Amino acid sequence: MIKNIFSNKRITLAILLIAIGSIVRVLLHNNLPAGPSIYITVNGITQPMFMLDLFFVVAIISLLSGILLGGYYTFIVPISVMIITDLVIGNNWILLFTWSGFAILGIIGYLLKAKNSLTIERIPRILGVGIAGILLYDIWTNFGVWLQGFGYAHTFQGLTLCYTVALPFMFWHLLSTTIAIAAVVVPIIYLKEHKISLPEVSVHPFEKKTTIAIPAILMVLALISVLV
Amino acid sequence: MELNSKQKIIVALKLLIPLLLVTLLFLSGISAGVITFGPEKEGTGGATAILKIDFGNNNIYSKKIDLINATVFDFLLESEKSGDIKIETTYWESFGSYVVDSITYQNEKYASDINHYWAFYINGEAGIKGADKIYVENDDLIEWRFVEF
Repeated sequence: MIKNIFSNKRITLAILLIAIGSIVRVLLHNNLPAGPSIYITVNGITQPMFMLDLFFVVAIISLLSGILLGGYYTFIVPISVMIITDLVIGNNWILLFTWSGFAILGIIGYLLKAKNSLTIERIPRILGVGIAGILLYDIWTNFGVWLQGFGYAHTFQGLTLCYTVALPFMFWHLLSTTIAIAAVVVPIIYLKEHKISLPEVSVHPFEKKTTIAIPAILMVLALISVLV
Repeated sequence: MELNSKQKIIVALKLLIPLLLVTLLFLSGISAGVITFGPEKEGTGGATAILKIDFGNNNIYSKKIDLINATVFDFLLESEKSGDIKIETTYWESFGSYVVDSITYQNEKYASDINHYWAFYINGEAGIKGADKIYVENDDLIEWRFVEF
């Protein structure tokens, strides 16, 4: 049975991505270096410009699961990484927001491949779309933090304060993930351009619809979990 | 697909121009004083501050504490050392800080749940960073409040 599982390239690659993401996240989560001594003052608040975390690891795994695997794996791979590592590291109520955020990044990877965007002249677009995905993730998860009301008043000032305090994480996400996308996706494009083909997977139309629906359902569940 | 030189220049410009803009923004931030370098002011020397914990229902604990180069969190831990209170905390990787889960006082545990959480204030203003990131200055009033959502 194990031989049959690993004879399926899609499953093998999914397991490999989950393993890499989980191992790296667990090993590094308590071993991150301190951020550089660069400070930014916004809204009268001075704070470090970069707060280091391991967002870029799961973000790249999410994008790759969309690019290389597509279909259900677009959300199964990133959410599996989060489940496994959260069992070890721990998590809290924000998990529905973060999990749905990573599932959205997976869809972005899937759409990039589906629209034949994996070419050299589309590299700026890939980086641009990746940056947009990171911003969307940060806006969504910090909206969840504000909605929960944990330390932030449910006013416009509370919302701006929440996003201001989140800026160091956002800047780090943008920097680290952009570099990671360039380091990982560009070689994939190079291989593709030099006729070393990516595994082609056929995705059933129902699977396509489910791929889009699952992150949307997670987002709705996240909102319900806060409002109820 | 091989790109001709014009296409290569366009791709290169599409990458270089945003990079240049980000670099210019960063340099503008430095010149405007928005972005600074060097360690954040850490430690304020010795500080005497009042620590007040409001458990609700007019149940308040108050103590004057002297510490050197201490954060708000350090002042709370100092109270625990004296045996007056017992604290449970969690380190939130997403915030890069410790969060107080519960404080036990006079054999009653006040724990964060779906209706309550612990918030701290310095001289009446809500803390905007983790308690372990804010240094206390002399004559500060540190308040921990058991807040209802």
